[in-house]
Amino acid sequence: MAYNILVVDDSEIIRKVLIKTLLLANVSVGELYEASNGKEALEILRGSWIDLVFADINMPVMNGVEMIEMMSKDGLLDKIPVVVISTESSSTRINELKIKGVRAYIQKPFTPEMVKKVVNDIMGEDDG
Amino acid sequence: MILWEKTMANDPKKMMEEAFIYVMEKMAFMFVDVPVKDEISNMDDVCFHVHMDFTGPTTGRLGLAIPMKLALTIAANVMGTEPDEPVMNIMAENIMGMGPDKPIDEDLIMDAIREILNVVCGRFLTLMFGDKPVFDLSVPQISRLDAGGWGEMISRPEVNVFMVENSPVLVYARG
Repeated sequence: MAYNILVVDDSEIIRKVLIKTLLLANVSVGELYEASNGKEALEILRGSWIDLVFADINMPVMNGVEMIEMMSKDGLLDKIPVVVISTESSSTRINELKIKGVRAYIQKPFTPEMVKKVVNDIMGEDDG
Repeated sequence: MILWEKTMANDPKKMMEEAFIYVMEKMAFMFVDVPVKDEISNMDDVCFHVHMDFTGPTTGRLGLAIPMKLALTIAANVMGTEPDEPVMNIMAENIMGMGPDKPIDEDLIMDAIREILNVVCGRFLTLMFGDKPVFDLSVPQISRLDAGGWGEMISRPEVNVFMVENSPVLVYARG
Protein backbone atom coordinates (compact mmCIF):
# COMPACT_ATOMS: atom_id res chain seq x y z
CA MET A 1 0.00 0.00 0.00
CA ALA A 2 1.30 3.46 -0.89
CA TYR A 3 0.95 6.21 1.69
CA ASN A 4 0.14 9.84 1.08
CA ILE A 5 2.64 11.74 3.20
CA LEU A 6 2.74 15.37 4.28
CA VAL A 7 6.11 16.86 5.26
CA VAL A 8 5.90 20.03 7.37
CA ASP A 9 9.11 21.98 7.95
CA ASP A 10 10.06 25.61 7.40
CA SER A 11 13.37 24.44 5.96
CA GLU A 12 13.04 23.61 2.27
CA ILE A 13 16.27 21.64 2.39
CA ILE A 14 15.01 19.46 5.24
CA ARG A 15 11.76 18.80 3.39
CA LYS A 16 13.76 17.70 0.34
CA VAL A 17 16.12 15.56 2.41
CA LEU A 18 13.25 13.88 4.23
CA ILE A 19 11.49 13.10 0.96
CA LYS A 20 14.72 11.69 -0.40
CA THR A 21 15.17 9.69 2.81
CA LEU A 22 11.69 8.21 2.50
CA LEU A 23 12.59 7.02 -0.99
CA LEU A 24 15.97 5.67 0.09
CA ALA A 25 14.23 3.82 2.93
CA ASN A 26 11.91 2.18 0.38
CA VAL A 27 8.84 3.56 2.08
CA SER A 28 5.89 3.01 -0.20
CA VAL A 29 4.93 6.59 -1.06
CA GLY A 30 1.85 7.65 -2.97
CA GLU A 31 1.38 11.39 -3.09
CA LEU A 32 3.88 13.68 -1.36
CA TYR A 33 2.81 17.04 0.03
CA GLU A 34 4.94 19.81 1.53
CA ALA A 35 4.10 22.66 3.90
CA SER A 36 6.39 25.24 5.47
CA ASN A 37 4.34 25.79 8.64
CA GLY A 38 1.40 24.40 10.59
CA LYS A 39 -1.14 26.70 8.97
CA GLU A 40 -0.24 25.57 5.47
CA ALA A 41 -0.28 21.97 6.67
CA LEU A 42 -3.81 22.26 8.07
CA GLU A 43 -5.02 23.62 4.73
CA ILE A 44 -3.52 20.62 2.94
CA LEU A 45 -4.89 18.19 5.53
CA ARG A 46 -8.40 19.59 5.10
CA GLY A 47 -8.25 19.32 1.31
CA SER A 48 -6.36 16.08 0.69
CA TRP A 49 -6.26 12.50 1.88
CA ILE A 50 -3.13 12.20 4.06
CA ASP A 51 -2.03 8.96 5.72
CA LEU A 52 0.97 10.22 7.67
CA VAL A 53 2.41 13.57 8.72
CA PHE A 54 6.06 14.37 9.46
CA ALA A 55 6.30 17.70 11.27
CA ASP A 56 8.95 19.95 12.74
CA ILE A 57 8.28 21.83 15.99
CA ASN A 58 9.93 25.23 15.58
CA MET A 59 8.29 26.94 12.62
CA PRO A 60 7.05 30.46 11.96
CA VAL A 61 3.35 31.39 11.54
CA MET A 62 2.09 28.23 13.28
CA ASN A 63 4.49 25.87 15.03
CA GLY A 64 4.22 22.10 15.16
CA VAL A 65 2.68 21.94 18.63
CA GLU A 66 -0.09 24.38 17.67
CA MET A 67 -0.73 22.36 14.50
CA ILE A 68 -1.00 19.11 16.48
CA GLU A 69 -3.40 20.75 18.95
CA MET A 70 -5.58 21.97 16.06
CA MET A 71 -5.57 18.50 14.51
CA SER A 72 -6.59 16.88 17.80
CA LYS A 73 -9.66 19.16 17.97
CA ASP A 74 -10.75 18.30 14.44
CA GLY A 75 -12.76 15.11 14.16
CA LEU A 76 -11.55 14.53 10.60
CA LEU A 77 -7.87 15.01 11.38
CA ASP A 78 -7.40 13.66 14.89
CA LYS A 79 -6.71 10.08 13.73
CA ILE A 80 -3.96 10.99 11.27
CA PRO A 81 -0.64 9.86 12.78
CA VAL A 82 1.92 12.60 13.31
CA VAL A 83 5.66 11.98 13.59
CA VAL A 84 7.68 14.87 14.98
CA ILE A 85 11.14 15.40 13.52
CA SER A 86 13.02 18.04 15.44
CA THR A 87 16.35 19.10 16.84
CA GLU A 88 14.97 19.08 20.36
CA SER A 89 15.87 16.26 22.69
CA SER A 90 14.18 17.37 25.90
CA SER A 91 12.44 14.34 27.40
CA THR A 92 10.00 16.75 29.05
CA ARG A 93 9.02 18.20 25.66
CA ILE A 94 8.84 14.75 24.04
CA ASN A 95 6.51 13.47 26.78
CA GLU A 96 4.31 16.55 26.32
CA LEU A 97 4.08 15.74 22.62
CA LYS A 98 3.15 12.12 23.29
CA ILE A 99 0.35 13.30 25.58
CA LYS A 100 -0.90 15.46 22.73
CA GLY A 101 -1.09 12.39 20.52
CA VAL A 102 2.19 12.42 18.62
CA ARG A 103 2.91 8.86 17.53
CA ALA A 104 6.69 9.01 17.27
CA TYR A 105 9.62 11.35 17.66
CA ILE A 106 12.76 11.42 15.52
CA GLN A 107 15.68 13.63 16.44
CA LYS A 108 17.67 15.33 13.70
CA PRO A 109 19.96 14.31 12.11
CA PHE A 110 17.91 11.33 10.98
CA THR A 111 18.77 8.27 8.88
CA PRO A 112 16.74 6.20 6.41
CA GLU A 113 16.72 3.37 8.94
CA MET A 114 15.18 5.56 11.63
CA VAL A 115 12.51 6.83 9.27
CA LYS A 116 11.73 3.35 7.91
CA LYS A 117 11.33 1.88 11.39
CA VAL A 118 8.96 4.61 12.50
CA VAL A 119 6.82 4.30 9.37
CA ASN A 120 6.65 0.53 9.74
CA ASP A 121 5.80 0.76 13.45
CA ILE A 122 2.99 3.22 12.82
CA MET A 123 1.58 1.79 9.62
CA GLY A 124 1.90 -1.79 10.84
CA GLU A 125 4.30 -3.13 8.23
CA ASP A 126 7.14 -5.54 8.83
CA ASP A 127 10.68 -4.23 8.64
CA GLY A 128 12.51 -5.84 5.84
CA MET B 1 17.65 28.89 36.85
CA ILE B 2 20.63 26.98 35.47
CA LEU B 3 23.78 29.02 35.77
CA TRP B 4 25.82 29.45 32.63
CA GLU B 5 29.13 28.62 34.21
CA LYS B 6 32.19 26.80 33.10
CA THR B 7 32.75 23.57 34.98
CA MET B 8 34.78 20.49 34.19
CA ALA B 9 31.59 18.74 33.15
CA ASN B 10 30.04 21.37 30.93
CA ASP B 11 32.50 23.79 29.43
CA PRO B 12 30.39 25.57 26.77
CA LYS B 13 33.30 25.83 24.36
CA LYS B 14 34.05 22.12 24.65
CA MET B 15 30.39 21.14 24.35
CA MET B 16 30.01 23.35 21.29
CA GLU B 17 33.03 21.65 19.72
CA GLU B 18 31.55 18.22 20.38
CA ALA B 19 28.14 19.23 19.03
CA PHE B 20 29.57 20.81 15.88
CA ILE B 21 31.83 17.86 15.06
CA TYR B 22 28.95 15.41 15.58
CA VAL B 23 26.52 17.31 13.38
CA MET B 24 29.01 17.90 10.58
CA GLU B 25 29.81 14.20 10.46
CA LYS B 26 26.23 12.97 10.70
CA MET B 27 24.47 15.59 8.61
CA ALA B 28 27.04 16.87 6.12
CA PHE B 29 29.32 13.79 6.07
CA MET B 30 32.37 16.01 6.62
CA PHE B 31 35.21 15.62 9.06
CA VAL B 32 36.37 18.46 11.27
CA ASP B 33 39.90 19.35 12.35
CA VAL B 34 40.86 21.66 15.17
CA PRO B 35 43.67 24.03 14.09
CA VAL B 36 45.73 26.47 16.08
CA LYS B 37 43.56 29.56 16.30
CA ASP B 38 46.41 32.02 15.72
CA GLU B 39 47.13 30.46 12.31
CA ILE B 40 43.67 31.32 11.00
CA SER B 41 43.43 35.08 11.22
CA ASN B 42 42.56 36.25 7.71
CA MET B 43 39.58 35.46 5.51
CA ASP B 44 39.44 36.41 1.84
CA ASP B 45 36.18 34.67 0.95
CA VAL B 46 32.80 36.22 1.74
CA CYS B 47 31.23 34.40 4.67
CA PHE B 48 27.83 33.68 6.09
CA HIS B 49 27.26 34.38 9.77
CA VAL B 50 24.26 32.57 11.24
CA HIS B 51 23.16 32.80 14.86
CA MET B 52 20.23 31.76 17.01
CA ASP B 53 19.10 32.30 20.59
CA PHE B 54 17.71 29.88 23.14
CA THR B 55 15.61 30.74 26.15
CA GLY B 56 14.50 28.58 29.04
CA PRO B 57 16.15 27.80 32.38
CA THR B 58 19.05 29.82 31.01
CA THR B 59 19.55 31.90 27.89
CA GLY B 60 22.29 32.14 25.31
CA ARG B 61 23.28 32.48 21.70
CA LEU B 62 25.05 30.10 19.32
CA GLY B 63 26.62 31.08 16.03
CA LEU B 64 28.66 29.95 13.05
CA ALA B 65 30.69 31.82 10.46
CA ILE B 66 31.29 29.83 7.28
CA PRO B 67 33.00 30.83 4.01
CA MET B 68 30.51 30.83 1.15
CA LYS B 69 32.37 28.20 -0.91
CA LEU B 70 32.34 25.78 2.00
CA ALA B 71 28.68 26.58 2.65
CA LEU B 72 27.91 25.46 -0.92
CA THR B 73 29.66 22.14 -0.33
CA ILE B 74 27.85 21.66 2.96
CA ALA B 75 24.49 22.34 1.31
CA ALA B 76 25.29 19.85 -1.45
CA ASN B 77 26.36 17.22 1.06
CA VAL B 78 23.28 17.71 3.22
CA MET B 79 21.15 17.18 0.13
CA GLY B 80 23.26 14.31 -1.13
CA THR B 81 24.14 15.92 -4.44
CA GLU B 82 27.08 17.68 -6.08
CA PRO B 83 27.49 21.45 -5.87
CA ASP B 84 27.06 21.88 -9.63
CA GLU B 85 24.27 19.37 -10.09
CA PRO B 86 20.60 20.17 -10.14
CA VAL B 87 19.18 19.51 -6.72
CA MET B 88 17.49 16.16 -6.29
CA ASN B 89 18.78 14.63 -9.49
CA ILE B 90 17.97 11.27 -8.03
CA MET B 91 14.32 12.21 -8.20
CA ALA B 92 14.59 13.80 -11.62
CA GLU B 93 13.15 10.81 -13.42
CA ASN B 94 9.73 11.86 -12.26
CA ILE B 95 9.36 8.79 -10.10
CA MET B 96 7.47 10.97 -7.67
CA GLY B 97 5.84 13.11 -10.28
CA MET B 98 8.40 15.81 -9.64
CA GLY B 99 10.67 17.15 -12.34
CA PRO B 100 14.32 18.15 -11.95
CA ASP B 101 14.60 20.77 -9.29
CA LYS B 102 16.46 24.05 -9.42
CA PRO B 103 20.24 24.16 -8.92
CA ILE B 104 21.48 24.84 -5.43
CA ASP B 105 21.03 28.58 -5.07
CA GLU B 106 21.91 30.98 -2.32
CA ASP B 107 18.57 30.52 -0.55
CA LEU B 108 19.15 26.78 -0.27
CA ILE B 109 22.73 27.32 0.89
CA MET B 110 21.53 29.66 3.64
CA ASP B 111 18.76 27.21 4.48
CA ALA B 112 21.34 24.43 4.90
CA ILE B 113 23.56 26.53 7.15
CA ARG B 114 20.61 27.60 9.29
CA GLU B 115 19.59 23.96 9.66
CA ILE B 116 23.13 22.89 10.58
CA LEU B 117 23.14 25.45 13.39
CA ASN B 118 19.64 24.41 14.44
CA VAL B 119 20.76 20.81 14.88
CA VAL B 120 24.02 21.87 16.56
CA CYS B 121 21.92 23.90 19.00
CA GLY B 122 19.75 20.91 19.93
CA ARG B 123 22.81 18.75 20.45
CA PHE B 124 24.66 21.46 22.40
CA LEU B 125 21.75 22.05 24.81
CA THR B 126 21.51 18.34 25.59
CA LEU B 127 25.25 18.08 26.19
CA MET B 128 25.26 21.18 28.39
CA PHE B 129 22.09 20.82 30.39
CA GLY B 130 20.83 17.24 29.96
CA ASP B 131 17.51 16.13 28.50
CA LYS B 132 15.09 17.46 31.15
CA PRO B 133 15.02 21.25 30.61
CA VAL B 134 12.80 22.67 27.89
CA PHE B 135 14.26 25.45 25.75
CA ASP B 136 12.60 27.64 23.18
CA LEU B 137 14.75 28.18 20.10
CA SER B 138 14.63 31.25 17.90
CA VAL B 139 14.65 31.03 14.12
CA PRO B 140 18.30 31.22 12.99
CA GLN B 141 19.23 34.60 11.51
CA ILE B 142 21.77 34.78 8.71
CA SER B 143 23.85 37.63 7.31
CA ARG B 144 27.03 38.17 5.34
CA LEU B 145 30.31 38.72 7.12
CA ASP B 146 33.20 40.66 5.59
CA ALA B 147 36.89 40.36 6.41
CA GLY B 148 36.62 42.93 9.18
CA GLY B 149 33.74 41.09 10.80
CA TRP B 150 35.65 37.82 10.53
CA GLY B 151 38.72 39.36 12.19
CA GLU B 152 36.61 40.79 14.99
CA MET B 153 34.82 37.51 15.59
CA ILE B 154 37.91 35.32 15.60
CA SER B 155 39.48 37.51 18.27
CA ARG B 156 36.75 36.72 20.81
CA PRO B 157 37.74 34.21 23.48
CA GLU B 158 34.54 32.16 23.21
CA VAL B 159 35.06 31.46 19.49
CA ASN B 160 36.24 28.03 18.37
CA VAL B 161 38.03 27.67 15.05
CA PHE B 162 37.72 24.47 13.05
CA MET B 163 38.94 23.36 9.66
CA VAL B 164 36.47 21.66 7.36
CA GLU B 165 37.90 20.60 3.99
CA ASN B 166 40.71 23.15 4.36
CA SER B 167 38.31 26.01 5.12
CA PRO B 168 38.09 27.63 8.53
CA VAL B 169 34.78 27.77 10.36
CA LEU B 170 34.11 29.87 13.43
CA VAL B 171 31.75 28.47 16.05
CA TYR B 172 30.66 30.05 19.32
CA ALA B 173 28.34 29.65 22.27
CA ARG B 174 27.69 32.65 24.48
CA GLY B 175 25.72 32.81 27.73
